[in-house]
Amino acid sequence: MAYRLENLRILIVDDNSHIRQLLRTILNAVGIRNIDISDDGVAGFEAFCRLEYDIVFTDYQMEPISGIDLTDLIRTSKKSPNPYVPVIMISAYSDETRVQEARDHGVTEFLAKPFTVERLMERLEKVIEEPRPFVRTETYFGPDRRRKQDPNYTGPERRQSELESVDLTMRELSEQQRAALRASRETFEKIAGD
Amino acid sequence: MADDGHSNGAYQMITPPNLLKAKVGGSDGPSGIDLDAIQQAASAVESLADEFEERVSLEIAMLMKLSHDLDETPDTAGKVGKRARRVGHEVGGQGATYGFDLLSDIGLSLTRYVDELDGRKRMSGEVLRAHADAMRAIIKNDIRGDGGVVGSELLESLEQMVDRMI
Repeated sequence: MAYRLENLRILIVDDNSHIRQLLRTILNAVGIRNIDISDDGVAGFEAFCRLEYDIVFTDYQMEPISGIDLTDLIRTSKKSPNPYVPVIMISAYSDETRVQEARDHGVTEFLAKPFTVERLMERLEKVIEEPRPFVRTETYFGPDRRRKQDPNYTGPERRQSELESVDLTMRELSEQQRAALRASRETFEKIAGD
Repeated sequence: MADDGHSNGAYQMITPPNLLKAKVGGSDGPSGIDLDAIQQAASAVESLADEFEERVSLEIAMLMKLSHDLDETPDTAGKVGKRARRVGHEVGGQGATYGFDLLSDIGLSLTRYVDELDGRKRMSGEVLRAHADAMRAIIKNDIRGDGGVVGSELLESLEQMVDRMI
């Protein structure tokens, strides 16, 4: 049975007008009509708090806050109306460190640019058909980062090492990236604290 | 909302109900996005390809201008690098979406050059021009996909140039 995608409401957050237009065109073509668009993460989070969205698409690199910060707000802010919403991050920065960073901040799916219609549809089907359980720890709230669950696994708990990898990721950032991150964090904390 | 019972103080597993599946056609069993709809989406993207090619032509002109700026005033390298990287990011991040896979690879080669350039080396206008020329050839000849053998040779020569110059 074909999905009734017209029932979905989608939020696209991207600072690139061409990517916004491209996403809207593709999603319209598969029958999704309720699409709202924001060109930065702050406006995106405000829009997210106003309506009930089924899926959020976000860019990685944006100002004043990044797609990672937006995902943090969606997952952990007290203002967030739906911390469980699937977040699909679209970015040309698709090296392992960035993908890991996205996962560690609660991104549901990562779609590398340049993407094709087929890859985009795969991600859409994945969030519909294979939703992952959510995990809450002292330092993380988001989809389970372990894709495959092995009920017969008897080895040591790996969650601690996953948390340690977050610190490792931060250490790998350049000074310039850390400065950008700090500036972004200040904006993030202001929004989260309002 | 189901709590799986994996709550031992260290972490808690929560399984939200699959509202998304219920919304788009909730029953169990085979389902998915209509293939005709996917085909329509592909056609819709194709209809944007002309506009993309026009944008790439503007990006190429920008890249050529940047390379000349660099030749004339080498101390603008920081600014030029930032703008050249943006060109590579735009072209690289969208080319394959419109069927120009080789164009994407060349855009990404340009961003690699800017990202990996040794801080003690001077940015080269020649490298920027070589990337602009390759992009222009692809658009002019409407080379889709990876460009076959000629495409791989072109890309390899650019990558070797980048390796030498970074």
